[in-house]
Amino acid sequence: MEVTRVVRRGLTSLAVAVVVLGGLATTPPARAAWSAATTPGPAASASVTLTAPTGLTVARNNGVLSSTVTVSWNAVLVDGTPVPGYRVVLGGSGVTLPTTRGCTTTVTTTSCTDVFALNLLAQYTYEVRAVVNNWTGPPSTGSA
Amino acid sequence: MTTTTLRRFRHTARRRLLVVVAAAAVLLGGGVAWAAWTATGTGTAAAQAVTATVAAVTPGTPTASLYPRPTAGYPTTGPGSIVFTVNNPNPYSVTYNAIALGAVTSGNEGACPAVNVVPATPTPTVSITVAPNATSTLQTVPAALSMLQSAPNGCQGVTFTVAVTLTGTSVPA
Repeated sequence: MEVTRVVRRGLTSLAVAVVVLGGLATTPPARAAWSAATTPGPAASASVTLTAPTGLTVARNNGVLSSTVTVSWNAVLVDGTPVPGYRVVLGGSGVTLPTTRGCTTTVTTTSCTDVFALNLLAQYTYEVRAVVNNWTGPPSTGSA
Repeated sequence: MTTTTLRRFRHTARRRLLVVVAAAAVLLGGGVAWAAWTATGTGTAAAQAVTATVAAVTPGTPTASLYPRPTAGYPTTGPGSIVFTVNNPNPYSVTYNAIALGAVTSGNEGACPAVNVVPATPTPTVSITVAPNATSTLQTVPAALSMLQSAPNGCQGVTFTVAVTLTGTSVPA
């Protein structure tokens, strides 16, 4: 009886030892990794500059009692997206066309119609600038 | 079985058990050592961990991309991209996987005060691995900065810098 107990105890210890050592053998060797950090250093970024609208065209529409002028231009893109607005001014004057003349302070499309071009003999010229919030771009080449 | 015989048997069993355990330890322990080291040799050796040298970030030449942020947010991740290189003076590779953005400096503080540009949220993610004793290629992190909607007209065509801190870990060889 005593012999059997001793043998069992021995076998149990052996099994435990094999399991423990086997676990050690299959565990991959430890690898150290250091944390790394840079000192704060400068990275750069830059803002865009608005460009002038191109392709400005002026089409005069003379009626019996009225005369209007439709001004059109190509969209100005920022980051591939059209800018949200444009400002149309009378060429040379820098005066923004009032709402009553059809071109509101900020035009959100790429054309507007000046409905107050009454003088049939006059030559109206216009300039268009791209607008992004407080930003205003350079004027387009004036067009008659 | 007499008491003497029983003692002898116990003694023998213990010895056998010790031998078996020792043999198993040598064999399996040898396996661990073999897994970690493949070089052999004799003599004495000494090892000392290197002292990590802090890496530095240097700005690159940016492509103009920033403009006043639309109410609905920027339509792409292009605006506010930042560019830089990072050098690794250590004799091991490092992977940086976190970036912290600090103070912004304006290239034209008079026309466009730096307060008009702020780090974007959420903070962008990075994964930059730099070889030992090397400088990275030019890194571009998109959507890192944002410009306030109220930014003045003078903020067109301005270069900004932002303090960048990268954190990561060494890459095991």
